[in-house]
Amino acid sequence: MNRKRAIVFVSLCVVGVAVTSAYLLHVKRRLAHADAIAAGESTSVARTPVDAPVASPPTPGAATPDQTTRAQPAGAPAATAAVPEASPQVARPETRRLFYRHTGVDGHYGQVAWLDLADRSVIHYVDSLRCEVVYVAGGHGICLSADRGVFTTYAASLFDARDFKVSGSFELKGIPSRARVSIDGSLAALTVFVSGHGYTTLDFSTQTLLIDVASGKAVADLEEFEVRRDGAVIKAADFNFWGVTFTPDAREFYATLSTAGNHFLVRGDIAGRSATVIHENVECPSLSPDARHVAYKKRFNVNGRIGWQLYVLELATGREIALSEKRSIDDQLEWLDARQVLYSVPSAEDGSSPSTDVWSANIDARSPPRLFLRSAYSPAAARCKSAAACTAAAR
Amino acid sequence: MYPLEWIEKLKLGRPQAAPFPPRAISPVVLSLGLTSLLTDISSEMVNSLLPAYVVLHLHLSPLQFGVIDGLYNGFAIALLSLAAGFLADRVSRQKEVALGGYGISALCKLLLLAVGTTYGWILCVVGLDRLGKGIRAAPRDALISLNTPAHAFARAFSVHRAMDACGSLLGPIVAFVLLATLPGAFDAVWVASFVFAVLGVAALWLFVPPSTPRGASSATAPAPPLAALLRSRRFLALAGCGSLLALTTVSDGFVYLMLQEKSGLAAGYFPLLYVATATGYMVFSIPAGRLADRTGRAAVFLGGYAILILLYAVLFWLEGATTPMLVGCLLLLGVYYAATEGVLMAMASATIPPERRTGGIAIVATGIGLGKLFSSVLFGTLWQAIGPQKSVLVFAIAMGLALLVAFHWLRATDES
Repeated sequence: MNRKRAIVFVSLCVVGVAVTSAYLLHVKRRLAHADAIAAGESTSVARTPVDAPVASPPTPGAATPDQTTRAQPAGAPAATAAVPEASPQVARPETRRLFYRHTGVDGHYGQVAWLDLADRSVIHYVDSLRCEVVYVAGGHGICLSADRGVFTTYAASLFDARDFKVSGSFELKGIPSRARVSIDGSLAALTVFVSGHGYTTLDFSTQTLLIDVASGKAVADLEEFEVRRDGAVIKAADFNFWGVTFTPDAREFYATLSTAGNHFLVRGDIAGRSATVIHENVECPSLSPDARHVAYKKRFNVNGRIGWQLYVLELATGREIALSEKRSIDDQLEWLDARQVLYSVPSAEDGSSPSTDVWSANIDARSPPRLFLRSAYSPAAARCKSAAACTAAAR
Repeated sequence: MYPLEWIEKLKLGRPQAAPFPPRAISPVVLSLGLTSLLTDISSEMVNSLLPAYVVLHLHLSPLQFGVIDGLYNGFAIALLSLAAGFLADRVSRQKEVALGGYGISALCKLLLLAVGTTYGWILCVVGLDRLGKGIRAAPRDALISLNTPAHAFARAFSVHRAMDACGSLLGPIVAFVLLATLPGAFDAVWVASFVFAVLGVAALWLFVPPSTPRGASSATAPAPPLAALLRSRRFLALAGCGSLLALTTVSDGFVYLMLQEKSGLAAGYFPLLYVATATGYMVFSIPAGRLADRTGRAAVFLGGYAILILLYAVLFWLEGATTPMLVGCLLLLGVYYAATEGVLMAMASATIPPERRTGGIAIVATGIGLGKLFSSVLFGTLWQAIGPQKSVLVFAIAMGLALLVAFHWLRATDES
């Protein structure tokens, strides 16, 4: 009797192992398949004429050892690298790059990728940088990464946007959420979800830091700032900041302050260690290049569920313009130019894929949103004060 | 008086317990331990990954949900587990009710695969999983005690708890190995977790004999009414001690948070604190159980809380913590669990007649659960108002008083 039951249990164990193995094999094949597709795409990348001139000088390989497009034979590892491109590109200063996190489920999953906004057919992958969130401006980039292990740890690294050399890195206190770099490349900002600061495990709080890019050190935690609302100082234990966006002079910033169920837009003064509430219900602000508008997500509560609609706030008048995007979007927007914003949307609504796509919307709110780039997250239009500054900063 | 009669009956030994030599642990307890081990591997695999999955994989901000959910769910689950406990006694089907609870949790792993990105649904699945946990705990503990002679209750519980803690240690490791080989493949983890959960249910189904309707020894006498149990002073003292002490207990999350801030540990290592505690629990559980059976369960139980007060004192005095200090604190926490959790259930089992075992255990467990729920809110509010340092002092003093009361109650109602 007992023996029979033991045999049944052991057989169940065997079946369990078989089922699990079969599924793991299936997942492995799925990943490998996606890998193969990605390799196929990279081949087309390699064939494009843009890369043709750079194939000849093999010398600067050392400067970019880790940058490859997957499909190329080992002999030409750094063929697509930025450095050789530099000499002809300086003559065309208007060319800008779009950096992002590649989210296609393939061998490049999670890697930083970039493309030329003037010619979006060529995708470059940065093998050395795997990030959850990435941002580039002023010739400098910040990468928030997850080191998955029994205990997943998180880190931030600052890198040069041209040769992708990491200049500094430090550990993060929680799960990466948002990152920004000022347009002069001097300051970076990041937000992480710090778990455990609540009554239940599912309650989270945030930490938002400002980082000096040159030294790689945190210069401020926004929770230290003195916040004023209508002239009076406000302070509460439940203060949470997130979603920093810098002003062009990098002396000030905008961010969201959450307290007691409100989500204020604050304008912060970095040197003065202070901030002022200027608007309500603004999350993840993003300042336009001309510093006249803030694009953001506005929180709505529909049937007990929270969703976000995209809005643009005209700073001078306080006028809010709803964008034509009607889906709920949870992202910090990026200005592609003075008229268009970029944001990411999960590729599959049912969550069957970790992939996201980047969409664009016009701030005139008349034309419908368009799919801008597949398999991408965390877009950064790599803005600089001037093209010359951008190249100089990277030198 | 009911209590004395029950104790006598139990001391004489129940028929199921007779075939085992006095020092051995019943294979039923080991099977229940195996079930808990497999189920804990399954659920800790998921729990250790869920926050990162939600934020990084699904790109959702967890900020949108708050405390209220947790509180409402806590009450609902407490009521349901009480109902399940009474039902199990009424139809004398502890095994089937426990199977239901374990089954729900196994099903949740499949649901996780199906619900995809919607955070609301993920939360529902997490809630359902907790519901399953609420339903199965009391019938399982009743089965442990019903298959053990009364003099070895604490040891039986301690063996089960050690196996349980072992499972919660292994879970995150299994999840890590899977994700390391197949990066980003969370669905693979959910599937493996489901398989572990199914094996856990199978172990319970195959190896635990169905509860005999109305134990042979009491077949002639009618089942003692519930009111008698609620009038039993010993039982009330135990339930009261459990709830009162739980009410003055700082929840683990806050203890970890304080330790983390004192030691400057990165938040990514937060689960490590949990692992160290579970290790302490696993290692010290069986020795504490043996000691309890030999020298007195009440003494070990109260001693466990005395150790917890010691931990609070350390938290209060300590300015910064080095790694050895950190490990020491976590081991203290593990010892506290080892000395109290299973031992209280053993004391309760010795007081409650077999016919009311599941419901009685459910009452004690619910009292503890609600006490912990309130203490979390209390401590959280206090933390915000006067800071962690003073809050822990307040709780330590409160626990000292509660411990005196508990000592008095337990001594006044001690029948041995």
